[in-house]
Amino acid sequence: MNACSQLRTAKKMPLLQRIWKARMAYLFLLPGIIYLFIFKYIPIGGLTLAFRNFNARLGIWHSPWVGLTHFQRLFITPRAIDAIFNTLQISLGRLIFEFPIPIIIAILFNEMRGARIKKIYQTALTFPHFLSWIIVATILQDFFGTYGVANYLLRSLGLEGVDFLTNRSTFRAFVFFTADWKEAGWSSIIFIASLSGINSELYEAAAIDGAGRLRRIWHVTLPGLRATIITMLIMKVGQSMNAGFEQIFSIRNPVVLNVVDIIDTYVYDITFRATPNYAFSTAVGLFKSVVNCILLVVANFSTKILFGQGLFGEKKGA
Amino acid sequence: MKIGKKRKPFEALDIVSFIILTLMVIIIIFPFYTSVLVSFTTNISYVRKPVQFFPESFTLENYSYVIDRMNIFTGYKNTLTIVIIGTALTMFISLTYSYALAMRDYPGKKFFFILLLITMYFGGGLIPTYLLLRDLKLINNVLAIVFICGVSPFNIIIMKNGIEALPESLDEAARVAGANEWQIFTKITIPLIKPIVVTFSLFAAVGYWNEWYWSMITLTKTSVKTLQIMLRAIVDSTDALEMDISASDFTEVFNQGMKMAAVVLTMLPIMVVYPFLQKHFAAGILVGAVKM
Repeated sequence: MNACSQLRTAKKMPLLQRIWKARMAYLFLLPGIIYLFIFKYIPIGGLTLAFRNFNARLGIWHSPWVGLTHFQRLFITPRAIDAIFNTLQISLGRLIFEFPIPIIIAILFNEMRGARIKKIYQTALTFPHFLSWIIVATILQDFFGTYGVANYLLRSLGLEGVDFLTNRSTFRAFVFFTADWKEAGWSSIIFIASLSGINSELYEAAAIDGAGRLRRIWHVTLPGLRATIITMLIMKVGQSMNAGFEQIFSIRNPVVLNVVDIIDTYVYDITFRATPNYAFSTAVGLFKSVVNCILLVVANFSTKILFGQGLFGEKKGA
Repeated sequence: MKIGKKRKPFEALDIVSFIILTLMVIIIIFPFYTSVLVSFTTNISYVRKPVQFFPESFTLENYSYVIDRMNIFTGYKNTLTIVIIGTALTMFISLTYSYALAMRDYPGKKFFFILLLITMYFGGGLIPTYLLLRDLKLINNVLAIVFICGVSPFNIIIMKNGIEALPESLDEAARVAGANEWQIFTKITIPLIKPIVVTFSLFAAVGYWNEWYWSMITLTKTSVKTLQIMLRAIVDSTDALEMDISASDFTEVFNQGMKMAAVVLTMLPIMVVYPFLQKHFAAGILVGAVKM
C-alpha cells in the first residue's frame, strides 16, 4: 500500500526533479560509466577499423574507409583459412574430449564415500585452474618431454617412449589432455552444485523400484544435470571461434605449429611478430566474434527445439 | 536398532569411483611434485639421474640464481603493484556500480544496466583495445593491465542481485538515524555482502596475479615486466638453449633447475594460500550458478 502510493507520487514528479532526487545514484554510477566508456565502448567503436585502412598519422577514427577489402583478403589468405579450420576442429575436439570430463568427475564425486577425502580431492583437482597457462605449460612440457617423467615411466614399463610434444599427429590429443588436466576439476564444481539440488527422495524412490546404482545414475543423476549441461553446452558452442589462445600459445612449438595454428595465434603472430596491419587484424577479430554470435544463436535455437530448453531456462509449464 | 548411522557395505561403484578419482589426483599432483623436486636438485645429481622420485640432493643454488641474476624481485614488485591497485579499483567500480543498480527505481536505471550488459557480450577485441592503450600512452605502464583486466560485468550483476536480496528495513533505519548514502554503502551494505566481496576480491587478485596476455603485449620494457612474463622469458631462453646443439650439457642441466625454481616462485603465493581459501573460490562459482 505504502510502496504503491510512493510509486505513484514518484511517477507524478517531473523528470528533472526525479533526476535530482536520484543524484546519489548517478554519483555511484559515475566511476563505472567512465570506465565502461573508455575501456569498453571506445574499443567497440574502434571495430570500425575493420572497414578502414589504418593510417597511424590519422588514427583509427580518421583513417579512410575501404569497405570489405580486409574480409575479402581474409578468405584468400591460406594461413588464415587453415587457422579458421583448425579453430573449428579443435573446438569440436574440445566438445568431445573436454566437455564430458567435468560431468564424469561430478558423478564420480557423487558416488564416492567420505566427506573429508572428497574435500581434499576437490582441492587438488581444482588447484591447477588458479595457475596461469605459462606455469602449467612449463610443468607439463617438462613432465611429458622426451626425457621427462612420463617417458621414463613408459620405458621402465618396457614400453616405447612417446614424443608427446613433437608428434604432429598426436599433438592435438596432448592439447585436449592438458586442458582437461588444468580445467576439468574446476569445471566440475558447477555440476557438483547442481547435483546437490537433486531431491534425495528421487534416489530413494528409484531404489525402492529396484534400480541399481548405475540405473540411478542414468535415470536420476543425469536428468538432474540436464539443465546445467545444456546451458554449458550452448555457451561452449558460442565460443567455438576461440579455441583457447592462452593454452595453445603456451604449449605450441615450431614443430607442431601448423596443426594448432588457430585464429587467435594467427592474429597475434601477424600483429606482434611481423609488420602489423592493424586494420586486417581487426577484421579477423570482428569476423571471429560475428561467427561466435551466430553459433550461439543457432545453438540456443536448436537446443530449444531438441530439448525444449535454451540458454534462458526451460519453457514454462512443462 | 540404531537409526541413521548404519554403515552401508562398500559396493563396486564406491571402489571404482574412489580409484578413478585417486588416479586423477595423482596425475595432477605428481607433475607438481617432480617440478618442485627438480628446483632443489643439484646439477651433478640431475646429470646422473634426470628423473628422480625422491630427493637425492639439496641445493638452493637454482633459487639464488633466479633471484640474484634474473632480478625476479622486479617482477614481484610489478605484479604486486598490479594485484593491489587492480583489485582495489575493480572492487571499487564493481561495488559502486552494483550498489547504484540495486537502488530504488530512478530515471535511466535500466539504461545503465543495459550499458553494462552489452559489454558482457560485445567487446572491441585485441587491436582496438591495444590502439586505445597506445593512444592513452599506457604502453609499458602497469596501469594498462590494471584497467584492461579485472572488471567483470557478470560479477557486477551477481553483486547487484546480492544487494537487492538484503532486507530494505536496515538502510531505511539508518536513513532515519541520519546516515547518508555513502555511510549506508560502506557501513551497512558492504559488511552484509562480505562473502561475495571476499570471493570476488580473491578472483580479481588471482586474475591479476596470473595475467600475462596483455602484459606480454604491452609491458615490453624490462623495468615493468611482471613475474609471469619473466617466467615466460626464462622458459623461452632455456628451451632455446636446449635446442641449441652447441650449448653444453652443463648449461642445459643448470637451466632445468633454474626454470623450475622460477615456476615455484611464480606459483608459490597461490600454492600457499589456495588450500585455505578453497571454499571461498568454490563459493564464487556457486553464487553465479544459482543466478544463472
